[in-house]
Amino acid sequence: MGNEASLSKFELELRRGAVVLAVLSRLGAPQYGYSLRQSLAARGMDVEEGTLYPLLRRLEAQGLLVSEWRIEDGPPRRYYELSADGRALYRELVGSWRTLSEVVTRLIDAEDAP
Amino acid sequence: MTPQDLIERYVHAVTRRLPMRQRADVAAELRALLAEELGAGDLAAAQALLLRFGAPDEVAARYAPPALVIEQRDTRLFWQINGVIALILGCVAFVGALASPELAGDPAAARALHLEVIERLLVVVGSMTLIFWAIGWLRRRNPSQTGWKPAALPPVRDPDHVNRYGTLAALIYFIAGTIVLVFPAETLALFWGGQMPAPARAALAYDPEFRAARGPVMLVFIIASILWLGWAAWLGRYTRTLRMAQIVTNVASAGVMIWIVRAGPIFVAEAADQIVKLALAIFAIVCLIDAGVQARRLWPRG
Repeated sequence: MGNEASLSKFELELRRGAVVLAVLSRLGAPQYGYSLRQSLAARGMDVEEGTLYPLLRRLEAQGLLVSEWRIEDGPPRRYYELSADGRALYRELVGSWRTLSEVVTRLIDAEDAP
Repeated sequence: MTPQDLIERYVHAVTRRLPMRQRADVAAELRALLAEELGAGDLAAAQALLLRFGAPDEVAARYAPPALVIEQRDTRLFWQINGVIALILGCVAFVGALASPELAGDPAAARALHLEVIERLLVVVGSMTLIFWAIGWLRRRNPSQTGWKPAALPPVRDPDHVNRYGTLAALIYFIAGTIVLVFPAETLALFWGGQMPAPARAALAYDPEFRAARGPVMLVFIIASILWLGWAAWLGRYTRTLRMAQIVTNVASAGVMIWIVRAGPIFVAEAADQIVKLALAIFAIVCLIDAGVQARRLWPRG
Protein backbone atom coordinates (compact mmCIF):
# COMPACT_ATOMS: atom_id res chain seq x y z
CA MET A 1 0.00 0.00 0.00
CA GLY A 2 1.38 3.41 -0.95
CA ASN A 3 2.04 6.06 1.69
CA GLU A 4 -0.72 8.27 0.31
CA ALA A 5 -3.31 5.47 0.26
CA SER A 6 -2.28 4.48 3.76
CA LEU A 7 -2.60 8.08 5.02
CA SER A 8 -6.04 8.47 3.49
CA LYS A 9 -7.21 5.19 5.06
CA PHE A 10 -6.08 6.19 8.55
CA GLU A 11 -7.44 9.73 8.14
CA LEU A 12 -10.79 8.24 7.17
CA GLU A 13 -10.78 6.09 10.32
CA LEU A 14 -9.85 9.11 12.47
CA ARG A 15 -12.60 11.23 10.96
CA ARG A 16 -15.36 8.63 11.14
CA GLY A 17 -16.29 9.18 14.80
CA ALA A 18 -15.48 12.88 14.67
CA VAL A 19 -17.95 13.45 11.82
CA VAL A 20 -20.80 11.99 13.88
CA LEU A 21 -19.96 14.29 16.79
CA ALA A 22 -19.63 17.28 14.45
CA VAL A 23 -23.02 16.54 12.88
CA LEU A 24 -24.73 16.14 16.26
CA SER A 25 -23.18 19.43 17.42
CA ARG A 26 -24.95 21.34 14.63
CA LEU A 27 -28.37 19.77 15.08
CA GLY A 28 -29.52 21.47 18.27
CA ALA A 29 -31.75 23.43 15.90
CA PRO A 30 -33.42 21.94 12.77
CA GLN A 31 -31.29 21.82 9.62
CA TYR A 32 -31.66 20.12 6.25
CA GLY A 33 -28.81 18.21 4.61
CA TYR A 34 -27.44 20.93 2.35
CA SER A 35 -27.59 23.70 4.98
CA LEU A 36 -25.93 21.39 7.52
CA ARG A 37 -23.08 20.65 5.10
CA GLN A 38 -22.59 24.37 4.47
CA SER A 39 -22.66 25.09 8.17
CA LEU A 40 -20.02 22.41 8.88
CA ALA A 41 -17.85 23.56 5.96
CA ALA A 42 -18.03 27.19 7.19
CA ARG A 43 -16.51 25.95 10.47
CA GLY A 44 -13.73 24.04 8.73
CA MET A 45 -15.33 20.58 8.74
CA ASP A 46 -15.74 19.48 5.15
CA VAL A 47 -17.93 16.40 4.91
CA GLU A 48 -18.63 14.83 1.53
CA GLU A 49 -22.24 14.79 0.40
CA GLY A 50 -22.20 11.04 -0.09
CA THR A 51 -21.12 10.59 3.53
CA LEU A 52 -23.28 13.20 5.23
CA TYR A 53 -26.72 12.58 3.73
CA PRO A 54 -26.84 8.81 4.35
CA LEU A 55 -25.38 9.42 7.84
CA LEU A 56 -28.36 11.59 8.76
CA ARG A 57 -30.69 8.74 7.84
CA ARG A 58 -28.69 6.22 9.87
CA LEU A 59 -28.63 8.48 12.93
CA GLU A 60 -32.37 8.92 12.59
CA ALA A 61 -32.84 5.15 12.33
CA GLN A 62 -30.85 4.82 15.57
CA GLY A 63 -33.22 7.22 17.31
CA LEU A 64 -30.70 10.05 17.73
CA LEU A 65 -32.41 12.41 15.30
CA VAL A 66 -35.98 13.23 14.39
CA SER A 67 -36.94 14.62 11.01
CA GLU A 68 -39.84 16.11 9.09
CA TRP A 69 -40.55 17.53 5.65
CA ARG A 70 -41.03 21.30 5.59
CA ILE A 71 -41.68 23.88 2.92
CA GLU A 72 -40.10 27.20 3.81
CA ASP A 73 -38.33 29.49 1.35
CA GLY A 74 -38.01 27.02 -1.52
CA PRO A 75 -38.74 23.40 -2.39
CA PRO A 76 -39.75 20.80 0.24
CA ARG A 77 -36.79 19.82 2.42
CA ARG A 78 -36.28 17.26 5.12
CA TYR A 79 -35.18 18.90 8.36
CA TYR A 80 -33.28 16.99 11.04
CA GLU A 81 -32.93 17.78 14.72
CA LEU A 82 -31.54 16.02 17.80
CA SER A 83 -34.05 13.82 19.59
CA ALA A 84 -34.10 13.62 23.42
CA ASP A 85 -31.90 10.51 23.21
CA GLY A 86 -29.65 12.26 20.72
CA ARG A 87 -29.17 15.21 23.08
CA ALA A 88 -28.27 12.92 25.99
CA LEU A 89 -25.85 10.92 23.85
CA TYR A 90 -24.33 14.09 22.44
CA ARG A 91 -23.48 15.33 25.95
CA GLU A 92 -21.84 12.03 26.81
CA LEU A 93 -19.94 11.96 23.54
CA VAL A 94 -18.63 15.48 24.13
CA GLY A 95 -17.24 14.33 27.48
CA SER A 96 -15.61 11.29 25.85
CA TRP A 97 -14.20 13.41 23.03
CA ARG A 98 -12.64 15.92 25.44
CA THR A 99 -11.01 13.18 27.51
CA LEU A 100 -9.76 11.37 24.43
CA SER A 101 -8.50 14.55 22.86
CA GLU A 102 -6.61 15.54 26.02
CA VAL A 103 -5.03 12.11 26.37
CA VAL A 104 -3.99 11.90 22.73
CA THR A 105 -2.65 15.46 22.79
CA ARG A 106 -0.58 14.63 25.87
CA LEU A 107 0.71 11.49 24.17
CA ILE A 108 1.75 13.20 20.94
CA ASP A 109 3.24 16.18 22.78
CA ALA A 110 5.26 13.99 25.12
CA GLU A 111 9.03 14.36 24.95
CA ASP A 112 9.57 10.75 23.95
CA ALA A 113 6.99 10.86 21.12
CA PRO A 114 8.62 10.46 17.68
CA MET B 1 -29.38 14.36 -21.57
CA THR B 2 -29.95 17.19 -19.11
CA PRO B 3 -28.30 17.38 -15.67
CA GLN B 4 -31.73 16.68 -14.16
CA ASP B 5 -32.06 13.49 -16.22
CA LEU B 6 -28.68 12.32 -14.94
CA ILE B 7 -29.67 13.07 -11.33
CA GLU B 8 -32.94 11.21 -11.86
CA ARG B 9 -31.07 8.17 -13.15
CA TYR B 10 -28.71 8.33 -10.18
CA VAL B 11 -31.52 8.66 -7.65
CA HIS B 12 -33.24 5.66 -9.22
CA ALA B 13 -30.01 3.62 -9.21
CA VAL B 14 -29.49 4.33 -5.51
CA THR B 15 -33.04 3.88 -4.27
CA ARG B 16 -33.78 0.67 -6.14
CA ARG B 17 -31.13 -0.93 -3.93
CA LEU B 18 -32.89 0.18 -0.74
CA PRO B 19 -35.66 -1.55 1.23
CA MET B 20 -39.04 -0.80 -0.36
CA ARG B 21 -40.34 1.26 2.61
CA GLN B 22 -37.44 3.75 2.36
CA ARG B 23 -37.35 4.23 -1.39
CA ALA B 24 -39.83 7.05 -2.01
CA ASP B 25 -38.71 9.13 0.96
CA VAL B 26 -34.97 8.80 0.28
CA ALA B 27 -35.57 9.46 -3.44
CA ALA B 28 -37.40 12.73 -2.69
CA GLU B 29 -34.71 13.89 -0.28
CA LEU B 30 -31.77 12.83 -2.45
CA ARG B 31 -33.30 14.48 -5.53
CA ALA B 32 -33.80 17.75 -3.64
CA LEU B 33 -30.31 17.70 -2.10
CA LEU B 34 -28.54 16.92 -5.37
CA ALA B 35 -30.50 19.65 -7.16
CA GLU B 36 -29.48 22.12 -4.48
CA GLU B 37 -25.83 20.99 -4.60
CA LEU B 38 -25.78 21.33 -8.39
CA GLY B 39 -27.53 24.67 -8.56
CA ALA B 40 -27.27 25.95 -12.16
CA GLY B 41 -24.42 23.57 -13.02
CA ASP B 42 -24.23 21.88 -16.41
CA LEU B 43 -23.98 18.18 -17.28
CA ALA B 44 -20.23 18.08 -16.58
CA ALA B 45 -20.81 19.59 -13.13
CA ALA B 46 -23.57 17.04 -12.47
CA GLN B 47 -21.21 14.21 -13.43
CA ALA B 48 -18.52 15.59 -11.12
CA LEU B 49 -21.05 15.90 -8.28
CA LEU B 50 -22.26 12.32 -8.69
CA LEU B 51 -18.71 10.99 -8.89
CA ARG B 52 -17.99 12.74 -5.58
CA PHE B 53 -21.17 11.35 -4.10
CA GLY B 54 -20.14 7.79 -4.86
CA ALA B 55 -21.20 4.68 -6.79
CA PRO B 56 -24.95 3.97 -6.37
CA ASP B 57 -24.43 0.58 -4.70
CA GLU B 58 -21.97 2.09 -2.19
CA VAL B 59 -24.30 4.99 -1.42
CA ALA B 60 -27.27 2.64 -1.01
CA ALA B 61 -25.22 0.60 1.47
CA ARG B 62 -24.48 3.80 3.41
CA TYR B 63 -28.18 4.65 3.58
CA ALA B 64 -29.23 1.19 4.72
CA PRO B 65 -26.20 -0.93 5.66
CA PRO B 66 -27.17 -4.54 4.91
CA ALA B 67 -26.36 -7.29 7.42
CA LEU B 68 -23.29 -9.29 6.46
CA VAL B 69 -23.98 -12.72 4.98
CA ILE B 70 -20.87 -14.07 6.70
CA GLU B 71 -19.47 -12.04 9.55
CA GLN B 72 -15.83 -11.06 9.42
CA ARG B 73 -15.00 -13.11 12.53
CA ASP B 74 -16.38 -16.25 10.81
CA THR B 75 -14.85 -15.72 7.35
CA ARG B 76 -11.60 -17.59 7.97
CA LEU B 77 -13.40 -20.59 9.48
CA PHE B 78 -15.87 -20.52 6.57
CA TRP B 79 -13.06 -20.82 4.03
CA GLN B 80 -11.20 -23.42 6.12
CA ILE B 81 -14.26 -25.68 6.31
CA ASN B 82 -15.00 -25.25 2.61
CA GLY B 83 -11.34 -25.85 1.78
CA VAL B 84 -11.19 -29.08 3.78
CA ILE B 85 -14.44 -30.35 2.25
CA ALA B 86 -13.22 -29.41 -1.25
CA LEU B 87 -10.00 -31.32 -0.56
CA ILE B 88 -11.92 -34.38 0.64
CA LEU B 89 -14.23 -34.24 -2.38
CA GLY B 90 -11.25 -33.90 -4.71
CA CYS B 91 -9.52 -36.85 -3.02
CA VAL B 92 -12.66 -39.01 -3.20
CA ALA B 93 -13.01 -38.20 -6.92
CA PHE B 94 -9.31 -38.94 -7.46
CA VAL B 95 -9.63 -42.24 -5.60
CA GLY B 96 -12.76 -43.10 -7.58
CA ALA B 97 -10.92 -42.39 -10.82
CA LEU B 98 -7.89 -44.37 -9.65
CA ALA B 99 -9.99 -47.41 -8.75
CA SER B 100 -11.92 -47.27 -12.03
CA PRO B 101 -9.40 -47.60 -14.88
CA GLU B 102 -12.29 -47.67 -17.37
CA LEU B 103 -12.74 -43.91 -16.78
CA ALA B 104 -9.53 -43.25 -18.71
CA GLY B 105 -11.10 -44.54 -21.90
CA ASP B 106 -14.50 -42.95 -21.35
CA PRO B 107 -14.36 -39.14 -21.57
CA ALA B 108 -18.14 -38.85 -20.99
CA ALA B 109 -17.94 -40.76 -17.68
CA ALA B 110 -14.87 -38.75 -16.62
CA ARG B 111 -16.73 -35.53 -17.42
CA ALA B 112 -19.78 -36.72 -15.47
CA LEU B 113 -17.55 -37.40 -12.44
CA HIS B 114 -15.98 -33.97 -12.82
CA LEU B 115 -19.40 -32.29 -12.95
CA GLU B 116 -20.63 -34.29 -9.98
CA VAL B 117 -17.70 -33.08 -7.88
CA ILE B 118 -18.39 -29.45 -8.85
CA GLU B 119 -22.10 -29.88 -8.13
CA ARG B 120 -21.44 -31.33 -4.67
CA LEU B 121 -18.91 -28.62 -3.95
CA LEU B 122 -21.48 -25.96 -4.82
CA VAL B 123 -24.01 -27.65 -2.54
CA VAL B 124 -21.44 -27.61 0.27
CA VAL B 125 -20.53 -23.92 -0.25
CA GLY B 126 -24.24 -23.01 -0.44
CA SER B 127 -25.09 -24.96 2.70
CA MET B 128 -22.13 -23.48 4.59
CA THR B 129 -23.18 -19.99 3.54
CA LEU B 130 -26.66 -20.60 4.94
CA ILE B 131 -25.30 -22.10 8.17
CA PHE B 132 -22.87 -19.22 8.74
CA TRP B 133 -25.53 -16.65 7.91
CA ALA B 134 -27.83 -18.32 10.50
CA ILE B 135 -25.02 -18.26 13.11
CA GLY B 136 -24.49 -14.53 12.50
CA TRP B 137 -28.22 -13.87 12.64
CA LEU B 138 -28.58 -15.73 15.95
CA ARG B 139 -25.60 -13.87 17.35
CA ARG B 140 -27.04 -10.48 16.37
CA ARG B 141 -30.46 -11.45 17.70
CA ASN B 142 -29.26 -12.73 21.09
CA PRO B 143 -25.94 -11.00 21.72
CA SER B 144 -25.99 -11.76 25.46
CA GLN B 145 -26.64 -15.48 25.03
CA THR B 146 -24.11 -16.08 22.27
CA GLY B 147 -21.24 -14.28 23.99
CA TRP B 148 -18.10 -16.24 24.75
CA LYS B 149 -16.96 -17.28 28.22
CA PRO B 150 -13.25 -17.25 29.09
CA ALA B 151 -13.67 -20.39 31.21
CA ALA B 152 -14.94 -22.29 28.16
CA LEU B 153 -11.71 -21.73 26.21
CA PRO B 154 -10.20 -25.06 25.13
CA PRO B 155 -6.78 -25.96 26.59
CA VAL B 156 -3.71 -25.36 24.41
CA ARG B 157 -2.90 -28.66 22.79
CA ASP B 158 0.73 -29.75 22.73
CA PRO B 159 1.24 -30.91 19.13
CA ASP B 160 4.08 -33.22 20.16
CA HIS B 161 2.05 -35.00 22.83
CA VAL B 162 1.09 -38.59 21.99
CA ASN B 163 -2.09 -39.99 23.44
CA ARG B 164 -0.72 -43.32 24.62
CA TYR B 165 -4.08 -45.09 25.03
CA GLY B 166 -5.32 -43.97 21.64
CA THR B 167 -2.04 -44.91 19.98
CA LEU B 168 -2.03 -48.34 21.65
CA ALA B 169 -5.60 -48.92 20.46
CA ALA B 170 -4.52 -47.93 16.93
CA LEU B 171 -1.52 -50.24 17.22
CA ILE B 172 -3.70 -53.21 18.17
CA TYR B 173 -6.10 -52.36 15.34
CA PHE B 174 -3.30 -52.16 12.77
CA ILE B 175 -1.62 -55.39 13.92
CA ALA B 176 -4.96 -57.24 13.80
CA GLY B 177 -5.68 -55.69 10.39
CA THR B 178 -2.28 -56.76 9.07
CA ILE B 179 -2.89 -60.34 10.24
CA VAL B 180 -6.23 -60.30 8.43
CA LEU B 181 -4.55 -58.93 5.30
CA VAL B 182 -1.79 -61.54 5.31
CA PHE B 183 -4.07 -64.47 6.13
CA PRO B 184 -7.56 -63.36 5.00
CA ALA B 185 -9.04 -66.81 4.38
CA GLU B 186 -7.52 -68.33 7.52
CA THR B 187 -8.72 -65.46 9.75
CA LEU B 188 -12.22 -65.60 8.36
CA ALA B 189 -12.27 -69.39 8.74
CA LEU B 190 -11.99 -68.84 12.50
CA PHE B 191 -15.49 -67.39 12.45
CA TRP B 192 -16.80 -70.47 10.70
CA GLY B 193 -15.08 -72.79 13.16
CA GLY B 194 -12.52 -73.83 10.53
CA GLN B 195 -15.22 -74.84 8.06
CA MET B 196 -15.23 -71.89 5.66
CA PRO B 197 -17.48 -72.38 2.59
CA ALA B 198 -15.60 -72.81 -0.68
CA PRO B 199 -17.08 -69.67 -2.38
CA ALA B 200 -15.88 -67.49 0.52
CA ARG B 201 -12.44 -69.06 0.35
CA ALA B 202 -12.32 -68.44 -3.42
CA ALA B 203 -13.42 -64.84 -2.96
CA LEU B 204 -10.50 -64.15 -0.61
CA ALA B 205 -7.76 -65.79 -2.69
CA TYR B 206 -4.88 -63.43 -3.51
CA ASP B 207 -3.68 -63.10 -7.06
CA PRO B 208 -0.49 -65.24 -7.24
CA GLU B 209 1.60 -62.45 -8.79
CA PHE B 210 0.48 -60.02 -6.04
CA ARG B 211 1.25 -62.52 -3.31
CA ALA B 212 4.73 -63.18 -4.75
CA ALA B 213 5.89 -59.65 -5.63
CA ARG B 214 3.73 -56.64 -4.70
CA GLY B 215 2.28 -58.00 -1.45
CA PRO B 216 5.61 -58.38 0.37
CA VAL B 217 6.67 -54.84 -0.60
CA MET B 218 3.48 -53.49 0.88
CA LEU B 219 3.90 -55.59 4.00
CA VAL B 220 7.30 -53.99 4.60
CA PHE B 221 5.74 -50.53 4.64
CA ILE B 222 2.82 -51.62 6.83
CA ILE B 223 5.25 -53.09 9.34
CA ALA B 224 7.35 -49.89 9.22
CA SER B 225 4.23 -47.82 9.99
CA ILE B 226 3.35 -50.11 12.89
CA LEU B 227 6.89 -49.79 14.24
CA TRP B 228 6.76 -45.97 14.16
CA LEU B 229 3.37 -46.08 15.91
CA GLY B 230 4.80 -48.36 18.60
CA TRP B 231 7.78 -46.04 18.96
CA ALA B 232 5.45 -43.05 19.40
CA ALA B 233 3.44 -44.91 22.08
CA TRP B 234 6.70 -45.85 23.84
CA LEU B 235 8.11 -42.29 23.84
CA GLY B 236 4.81 -40.57 24.63
CA ARG B 237 5.98 -37.64 22.46
CA TYR B 238 6.67 -36.96 18.83
CA THR B 239 10.32 -36.27 18.16
CA ARG B 240 11.88 -34.79 15.05
CA THR B 241 13.31 -38.16 13.99
CA LEU B 242 9.97 -39.90 14.53
CA ARG B 243 8.16 -37.32 12.43
CA MET B 244 10.76 -37.59 9.67
CA ALA B 245 10.42 -41.40 9.71
CA GLN B 246 6.65 -41.12 9.48
CA ILE B 247 6.77 -38.61 6.63
CA VAL B 248 9.12 -40.80 4.58
CA THR B 249 7.12 -43.96 5.32
CA ASN B 250 3.80 -42.30 4.56
CA VAL B 251 4.89 -40.82 1.24
CA ALA B 252 6.56 -44.09 0.19
CA SER B 253 3.52 -46.11 1.35
CA ALA B 254 1.19 -43.90 -0.69
CA GLY B 255 3.39 -44.43 -3.77
CA VAL B 256 3.47 -48.17 -3.20
CA MET B 257 -0.31 -48.37 -2.72
CA ILE B 258 -0.98 -46.43 -5.92
CA TRP B 259 1.51 -48.65 -7.77
CA ILE B 260 -0.19 -51.78 -6.40
CA VAL B 261 -3.64 -50.57 -7.41
CA ARG B 262 -2.48 -49.70 -10.94
CA ALA B 263 -0.18 -52.71 -11.54
CA GLY B 264 -2.75 -55.48 -11.66
CA PRO B 265 -5.21 -57.58 -9.67
CA ILE B 266 -4.81 -58.05 -5.92
CA PHE B 267 -7.54 -60.64 -5.44
CA VAL B 268 -8.58 -63.23 -7.97
CA ALA B 269 -12.27 -62.46 -7.46
CA GLU B 270 -13.29 -59.24 -9.24
CA ALA B 271 -15.60 -57.92 -6.47
CA ALA B 272 -13.04 -58.37 -3.68
CA ASP B 273 -10.36 -56.89 -5.92
CA GLN B 274 -12.39 -53.70 -6.58
CA ILE B 275 -13.25 -53.17 -2.90
CA VAL B 276 -9.65 -53.62 -1.74
CA LYS B 277 -8.33 -51.34 -4.49
CA LEU B 278 -10.76 -48.64 -3.45
CA ALA B 279 -9.70 -49.05 0.18
CA LEU B 280 -6.00 -48.90 -0.79
CA ALA B 281 -6.53 -45.75 -2.84
CA ILE B 282 -8.25 -44.13 0.16
CA PHE B 283 -5.39 -45.20 2.43
CA ALA B 284 -2.92 -43.69 -0.03
CA ILE B 285 -4.69 -40.34 0.26
CA VAL B 286 -4.84 -40.63 4.08
CA CYS B 287 -1.09 -41.36 4.14
CA LEU B 288 -0.38 -38.27 2.02
CA ILE B 289 -2.59 -36.07 4.20
CA ASP B 290 -0.88 -37.42 7.34
CA ALA B 291 2.53 -36.77 5.77
CA GLY B 292 1.41 -33.20 5.04
CA VAL B 293 0.24 -32.69 8.63
CA GLN B 294 3.51 -34.07 10.03
CA ALA B 295 5.55 -31.90 7.65
CA ARG B 296 3.58 -28.82 8.72
CA ARG B 297 4.42 -29.54 12.36
CA LEU B 298 8.04 -30.28 11.58
CA TRP B 299 8.52 -27.15 9.48
CA PRO B 300 5.90 -24.66 10.69
CA ARG B 301 5.44 -21.61 8.51
CA GLY B 302 6.03 -18.16 9.86
